[in-house]
Amino acid sequence: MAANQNTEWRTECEKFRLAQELSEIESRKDPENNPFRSKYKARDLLKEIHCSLKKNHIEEEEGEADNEADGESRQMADGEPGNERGKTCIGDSPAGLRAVRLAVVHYYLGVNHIETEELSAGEQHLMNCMKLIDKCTTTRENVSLFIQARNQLGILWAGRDEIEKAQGFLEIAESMYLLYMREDGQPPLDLQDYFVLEGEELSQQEKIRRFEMAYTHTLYYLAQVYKNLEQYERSGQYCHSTLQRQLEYKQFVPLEWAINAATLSQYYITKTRYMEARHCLAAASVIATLAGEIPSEADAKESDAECEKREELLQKRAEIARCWIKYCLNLMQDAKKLLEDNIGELDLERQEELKRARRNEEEEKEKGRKSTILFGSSDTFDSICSLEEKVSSMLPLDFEEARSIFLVGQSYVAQAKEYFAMDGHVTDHIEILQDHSALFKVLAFFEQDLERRCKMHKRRVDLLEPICKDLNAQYYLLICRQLQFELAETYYEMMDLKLAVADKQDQPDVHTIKKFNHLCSSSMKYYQMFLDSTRSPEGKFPEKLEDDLLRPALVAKFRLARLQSKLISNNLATQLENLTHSLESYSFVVQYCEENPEAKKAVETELELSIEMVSLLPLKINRIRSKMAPCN
Amino acid sequence: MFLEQKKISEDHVTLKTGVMMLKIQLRITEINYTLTDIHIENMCVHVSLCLQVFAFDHCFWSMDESNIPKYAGQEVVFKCLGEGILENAFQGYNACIFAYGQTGSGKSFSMMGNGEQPGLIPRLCCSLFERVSRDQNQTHSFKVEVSYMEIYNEKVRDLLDPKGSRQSLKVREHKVLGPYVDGLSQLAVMNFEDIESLMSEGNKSRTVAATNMNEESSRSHAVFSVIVTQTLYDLQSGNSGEKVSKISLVDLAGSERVSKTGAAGERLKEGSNINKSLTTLGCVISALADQSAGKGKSKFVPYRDSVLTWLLKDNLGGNSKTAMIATISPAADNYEETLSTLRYADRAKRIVNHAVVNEDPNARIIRELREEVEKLKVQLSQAESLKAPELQEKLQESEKLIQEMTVTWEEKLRKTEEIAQDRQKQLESMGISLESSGIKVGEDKCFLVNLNADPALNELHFFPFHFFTSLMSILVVFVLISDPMQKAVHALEKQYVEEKRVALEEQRLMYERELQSLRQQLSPEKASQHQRCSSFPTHNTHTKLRLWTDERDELFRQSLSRLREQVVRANTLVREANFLSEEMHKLTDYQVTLQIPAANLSANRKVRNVHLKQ
Repeated sequence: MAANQNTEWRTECEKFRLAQELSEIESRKDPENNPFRSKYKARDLLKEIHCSLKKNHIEEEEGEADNEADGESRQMADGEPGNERGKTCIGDSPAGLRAVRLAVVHYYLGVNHIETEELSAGEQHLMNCMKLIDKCTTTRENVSLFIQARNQLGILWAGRDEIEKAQGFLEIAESMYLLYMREDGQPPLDLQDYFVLEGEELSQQEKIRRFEMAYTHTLYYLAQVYKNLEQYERSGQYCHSTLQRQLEYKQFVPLEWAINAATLSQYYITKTRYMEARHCLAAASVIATLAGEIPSEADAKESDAECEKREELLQKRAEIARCWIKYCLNLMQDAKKLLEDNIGELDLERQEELKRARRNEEEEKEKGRKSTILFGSSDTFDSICSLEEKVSSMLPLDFEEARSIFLVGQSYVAQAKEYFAMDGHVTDHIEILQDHSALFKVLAFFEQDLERRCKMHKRRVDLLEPICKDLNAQYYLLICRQLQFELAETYYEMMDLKLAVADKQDQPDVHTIKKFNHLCSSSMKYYQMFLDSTRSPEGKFPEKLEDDLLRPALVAKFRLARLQSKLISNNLATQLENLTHSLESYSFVVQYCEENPEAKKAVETELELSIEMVSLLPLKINRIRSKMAPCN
Repeated sequence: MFLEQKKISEDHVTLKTGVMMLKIQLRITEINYTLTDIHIENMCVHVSLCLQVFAFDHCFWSMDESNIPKYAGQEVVFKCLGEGILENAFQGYNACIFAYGQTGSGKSFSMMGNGEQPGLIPRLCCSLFERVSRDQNQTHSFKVEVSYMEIYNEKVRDLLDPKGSRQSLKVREHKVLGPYVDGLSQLAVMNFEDIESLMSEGNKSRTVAATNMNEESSRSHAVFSVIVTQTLYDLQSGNSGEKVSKISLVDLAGSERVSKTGAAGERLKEGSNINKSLTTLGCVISALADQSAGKGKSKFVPYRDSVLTWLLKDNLGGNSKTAMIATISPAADNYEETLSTLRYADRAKRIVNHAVVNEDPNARIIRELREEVEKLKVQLSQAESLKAPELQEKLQESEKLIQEMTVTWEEKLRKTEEIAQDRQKQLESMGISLESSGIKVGEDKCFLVNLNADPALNELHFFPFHFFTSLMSILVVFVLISDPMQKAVHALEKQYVEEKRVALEEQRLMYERELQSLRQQLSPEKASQHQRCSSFPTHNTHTKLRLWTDERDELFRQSLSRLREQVVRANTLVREANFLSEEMHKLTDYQVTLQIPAANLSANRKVRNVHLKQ
């Protein structure tokens, strides 16, 4: 009988193996007009196994009395006795094992039906599977199946838009894992272990790998569930755990993992969690190096594969560098927001206050938070930490601190630009330059010396002006506009600074005035270019501005008006002309808002001031006129 | 399997945003099946089964030709879509038409049409060549070229490559030429027949590839581009200018296969679906990073645009005219696909690039302007209410300030220069010449030059100087007499207050100017400016000036004697140094030299000097 059983068993195992192969490998080659051919074949095999198991089930239940253990149950005999919690059956008893084996078949049948878009049937099988194991206590024999079945049900219900239901299944799977690990923690059996011949079982290591993988998936699915429930914070947390576990169990592709970690840092940045963001970035940089050496240019020329590899490695590293740039930039910008007063200058009192506050608390807080987010496999941990130490994760409160972050950011700018060169990567290259300019801009905020601050803005001009001239607006219109606007603002800023410097001198010299006028006109030039870019091919200014352009365009007009009245000239006629232009520009804003009342909301303050100026400027203009009259 | 039986019909939905148009047309297929309840109303597609409504800018219903009032034929579609696009292209802008929809839902009918009912592409090309032949002349020439490529699995392949190579091409960007495919063949065409034959040539190459790749072709995009280059010659000057524009016709891959094969792995599913494979973790994380739009935070989400969006990015924003034709079938068993097409088209609206212009906070500018408004308001109300002399005075004062700020420096410099030159001549006649290195004094002459930084005193005062004649070095001394100046100003201020009560308006003004200039002279930087004050003493101010001059002379004498003492002390030290040097047999000769920085001696800088010849 035993021999007979063995042959029979051998057949079942073979069927199971074949079903797996059909479902996972063969199915990829199925033709378009019969996409589920192999899946259906696999299903038939699984059904056969199910039938014979059912038959055995009954037989064995009858023979239970003589307590004759077969090969499998002997193997399980050393398992710990299940602790009872009102379950009718102990997980590792012979009856328990039979139940699990049947449940495994139901599980695969369920998955098979879901994959062939027969969701209800799939659900039925999975529920059967759950019923079978729910009768048993949780042991290392069934815990893996328990988790995987719930994973599948989670996916199924999410697909039906019943997210809460999905969440329920997955959260149970999560807590089951935690419970099992706390109370047992031995490597549990994998689903496949139920259909292999003696001696062909999976290795302990492989069992662990699969079990942990199943749980990693649980976490990943929960991340998605929370995202769909708009619980972004939790979702981020679960993405983070997923990454941690991938690293821990070495189930990752280095470049892919690195990019994911770098991307997650961008999420943390928006949440102003810089410690986490930095950790992600440092890990990304370190793990990316595991992807291997970058093939040399010469090797790349030799073979396409090497060329592709080189390209990919360079690109991903440059992308991680760009994530670092954003980190540095946002860290400084957030600090600026905290430190600035209502007109955007450094508030010294606030600075003192924040510095005091920081001394007291920050360190304590960081320590507690840090331990939960670490990415650590022992071999990479040290390099990740040493990379982290190169840049602070605390908001800079003075120029020195800001400068050290700026320098790190700037070094990543250089790194990113190597791959994203102007030649071939115009958009990316310019985005990096814009970031570089933004780094200078925020650094300038921390600089107290006006002349030096002005020089930082000059660097921005030097970065952006040449490309703004070269770029073809037919293809890069939106970028051109951004550049024009930024240049206009930068020149405005420089003009303001020059004025402030001159104020300190009390009396500007000829050079200063010339410079002042030059900065004024440059700013005007770029505002004008920006405005002209909205004109139709016939050169007509749009009667109605697009939503995206509405505020920028009206603000540009408004500032243009301001600049026109700021120009310094001793010539009355020129003064008159400038003021007249200024009046025209103010009037434009007023008139546009009259014709398009919906615009009023976008430029409330500017409109209010424009209306004032429109009524007041004529006074000034008339005065100049009257002065000119006697001269003639 | 179920597609062949359907008769193709059409329906269009278009969408418009601002200057740029993204038009989405929708074609609904009939007919042997029960129709799902899809109907169109006010540019909206209502899908009753799932109670969804999709809004678009334009909807064309072309399901049943016999329904004349409702039916929108090819001509109508072309008029609405094609003409605008063509016009734009001739103006030198790029244009693009996307076609999207399930296979057999009328996509190719919309784009290519058939013999009797030519579709968008033939109509577009015919109009294009018509216009070319009409407009072409001596000064205006046209060149039309085409390219055809396929994008599969993010790899670009040239469908017109004569060698039929399957090599994948690189996409790049050029700052002037925009995004381009490196090495893509671009063939010149003369008429629509050329285009047609190249298209079918390319299609063949695409089909061959498709069989090799099994089912994959339904997931490849095809981009057919027509490049129009217009050259304008100016016969007179012989100059010429070029305008290049590109019309891209894009056949988007259908999405229908994706869900059926279960190979959706790489793509993020919509709605509340969960992606099974960890390979999509990146999508989840980047979606997370994308959605958390922190206020004004700039972030970089390293998810590469697909090659297609990358190549056509200029079409998804800016001045390019872009349309999308989405074709759907109302047949019940295509319900899922129809819905997904509608969703896709709906999302396409959001693909449009919005490059936000980030502006600096306005706060400071606003504040400044508020101040100015207040100032002007005060002026205005005063001007209106009382035309009193006091007000006028105030106004003139502020005007004067403005004027002083605005008098161009060139003018001032010129005047100053003239005066300086006069003075130099005068000096030279006395044996002193101003040089960049300092002041050169004639060998045998000793002078004391007025050191007062006060430019109001234009006259240079030379005092023959008889001290220290035994010493051989020339001492150039610069003394800034600020104390006496302040006193002088103070005195003048006092007088001014006194006079103010009695004096006439004009006189007051004069004092103010004087006062102003004197104040400015207090800081050395502006010392150069206000010589003109001295040029207008009138009979009224004359006496005061004299008084003041006397006072100043007295102070000057005092400072001079102080200087003298210092020079004596210095000389003593020099003598001692020389003595020591002699003792130590060093060949060094120590001298006392008081110097004015050379910059202060330039002709237009009115600094008085004392020359001491020793």
